[in-house]
Amino acid sequence: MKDIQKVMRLDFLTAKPSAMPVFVFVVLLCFGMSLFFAPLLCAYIIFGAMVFVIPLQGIADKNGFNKLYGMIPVRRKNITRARFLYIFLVHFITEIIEIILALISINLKLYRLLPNQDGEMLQMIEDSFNDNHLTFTIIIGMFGFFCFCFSYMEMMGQIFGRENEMKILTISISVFVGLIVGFLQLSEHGIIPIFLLPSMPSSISGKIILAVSGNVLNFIICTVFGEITANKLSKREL
Amino acid sequence: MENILEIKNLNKSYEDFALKDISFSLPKGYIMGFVGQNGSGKTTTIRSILNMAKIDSGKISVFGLDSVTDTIAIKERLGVVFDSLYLAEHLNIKQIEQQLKPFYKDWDSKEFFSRAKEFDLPEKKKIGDFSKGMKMKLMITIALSHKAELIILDEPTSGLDPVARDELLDILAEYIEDENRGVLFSTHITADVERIADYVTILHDGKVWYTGEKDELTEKYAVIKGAEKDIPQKLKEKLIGFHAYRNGLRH
Repeated sequence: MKDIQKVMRLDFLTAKPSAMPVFVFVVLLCFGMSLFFAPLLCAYIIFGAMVFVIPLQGIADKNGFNKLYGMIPVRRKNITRARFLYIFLVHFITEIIEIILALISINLKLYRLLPNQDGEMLQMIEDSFNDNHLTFTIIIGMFGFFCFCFSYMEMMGQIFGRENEMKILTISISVFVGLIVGFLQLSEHGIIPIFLLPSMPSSISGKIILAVSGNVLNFIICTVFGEITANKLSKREL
Repeated sequence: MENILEIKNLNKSYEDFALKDISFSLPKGYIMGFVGQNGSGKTTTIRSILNMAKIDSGKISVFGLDSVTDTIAIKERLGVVFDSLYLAEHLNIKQIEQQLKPFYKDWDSKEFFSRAKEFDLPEKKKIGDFSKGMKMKLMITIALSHKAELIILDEPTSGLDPVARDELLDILAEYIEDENRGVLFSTHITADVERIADYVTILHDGKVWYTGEKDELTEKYAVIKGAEKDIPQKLKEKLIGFHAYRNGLRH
């Protein structure tokens, strides 16, 4: 585990110089806007997290980070595993930041300082401040979606090569859309029973449990993808 | 004499190339030149020592430890200089130091920065903008900062200008003053071997052609230059190689 921590630190320090200013800018922009217009704008901070992942993949490939195990005391598999945990951690920390900032935004209710207090627009803003359920669902949903996508792309990129990334992405999206359309068609014609999404729990504790479960599920997915990739790559000689 | 590196009957085959029964050893306190033509197997042997290539058979011991099972313990005490850095080239040496420090128990930051200063490595310049010579020096700085007892260099002098080559060889000569250390460097520049190596291993077509002390090699073999007709028959029988030049009398 220590090995993995060290490699994650190496990855973070590699991405940090170029990513940090962009991330801080996105945080300030989204948080500033969320204070006055809608707390759910904090969910867009997740786009800032991307700058810690996407450039890193390019830098790591260009500089042959996967060969680092020949130089420094670290196992090859741990270099791969660390990348997936790094992706999870970057998204998870961003999600926590989003939740904290959204809570601050909700509690401050600074939209009350805006002019034209009786306007229709202000009513919409007020509604968004009252719909906390939507805010946190979007934050957790976007975290889950991006975390899954990036770890999936990392797995495919490392196993099949970055040059095939777009091809793999297109195939994966096509398969996913095909399955959804097929599923909907089959349910519409009564071939399979109509599947209804379970409704969100109404209690706060229920929502917290659901959010934590989403995070744990993402952690498991990242770990499994990391393990699959590490095992595949260890059979190949660099 | 205690060996710092020992390779016994190493075999490794690829589709179009194979290392056949490679055996040699490097005693503590010495520099070994690892010589051979391009494609003779030098890099594959080094990759096997570093556990980057999976060997088919044989045994590699570094500091008396097994290169496969004890690879982490070995790399704690080993410095590597490749032709490529394998580090983030947009970072400066300060940031690189921060990255590498946690990997080594014996890392000495003071040593890192004093060596970097001694080697004139600029602190704020991106390492990607370093010259080849500076990159070599950075790799050696890293090795010295974690007190590496053995440095393995893969063709460190190829592509370096004569001044940088000289500097590098001086650094290695200074490094080996501590008798508990060792250096293995692969090259096809025989002048470098002549200058600093104590031992030589020559690979040819995946096999060890010679391994032993450099002085023994220079005593046993010599280079004769001149026209072919001037070489007596008795001497011709002892020739192990012959090279005719186009600009000579014949070709």
